[in-house]
Amino acid sequence: MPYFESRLRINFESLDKIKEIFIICEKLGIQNLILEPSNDIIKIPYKLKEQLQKLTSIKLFYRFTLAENSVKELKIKLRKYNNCAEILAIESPNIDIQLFAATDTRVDLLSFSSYNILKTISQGVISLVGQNNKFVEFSLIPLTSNNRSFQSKAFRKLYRSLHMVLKNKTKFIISGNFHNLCDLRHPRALASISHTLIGIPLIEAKKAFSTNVELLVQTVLKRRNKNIFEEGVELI
Amino acid sequence: MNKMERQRYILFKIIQVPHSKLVAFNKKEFLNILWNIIWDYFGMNTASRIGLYLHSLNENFGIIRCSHKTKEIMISALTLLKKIDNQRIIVSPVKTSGILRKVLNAADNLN
Repeated sequence: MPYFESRLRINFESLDKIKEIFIICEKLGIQNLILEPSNDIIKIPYKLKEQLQKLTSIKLFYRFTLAENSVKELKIKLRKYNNCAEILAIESPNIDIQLFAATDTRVDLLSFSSYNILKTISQGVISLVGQNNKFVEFSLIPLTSNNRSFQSKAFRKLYRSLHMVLKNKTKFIISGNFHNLCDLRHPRALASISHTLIGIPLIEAKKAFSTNVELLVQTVLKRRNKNIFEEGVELI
Repeated sequence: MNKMERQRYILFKIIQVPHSKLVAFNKKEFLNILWNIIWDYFGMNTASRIGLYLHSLNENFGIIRCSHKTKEIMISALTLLKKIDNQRIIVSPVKTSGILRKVLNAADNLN
């Protein structure tokens, strides 16, 4: 089962630091990585992708995360990503933005990675995401916190949200989203943590780190294929 | 009817983070930290069922034994371990098996 670390923020300008991160990931045994530019890039050039792939044997994928404050701003920003060849995620505590993103065809993923955003999750948004064949993302970033009371609160919110998603049968992924190099862990170990601390079934936890992420990557690859018009309609 | 408890051996890798001082491991200290994590996150109820035994430990890897029912808890506890002797380290489980020989073979491949 190929496991994915589905969110790793990287500054694409410092190749030495990227190399250091790749070495740690290789030591951990991570096989698939989804990188997110921390600097403001709209398109990742093919040359840069090739250059990064030469640094490591890990399979690399890319994603963009938009965190806008209003629907109007998001609409303007999304125009730049009309023909986006990577995974496009939206992250916002604003419910209007969440509802808009859940129905927009350009968006692949609705991210609830921080505690403040997780507080705003609702049954309606999750249901809409499921109906539109999109994905919900959660993160295990509270693991890195040293504040035990915050950690407990965050895990409680994660527990409630994940059980809501499981009940709705919406597809979801879990990412590490760790900012510090020392906090990086293998996705299989994170699946164990999701099972033991958050209480989701082990099969579902493993799916969130492997099969579901694979599905997400495949939807993006299908979007790149110009012969596929929509799900089930392909020009042969 | 209660089934007999089986054992699981977990091989884990210890990764020392770049730019940090090399940590020399002491079996007793490592076990103490591991027990603290188990008590903190899972409580006494779970801790009493684990049957933890540290088979071997060196700078690069270690092998622990636990009951088959608490395998996932042990993997989580190892993952949650962040510091030894105030130095940041990463502990990453590599292989789990019920047969010690298989785990030892995997450890040989790691070297």
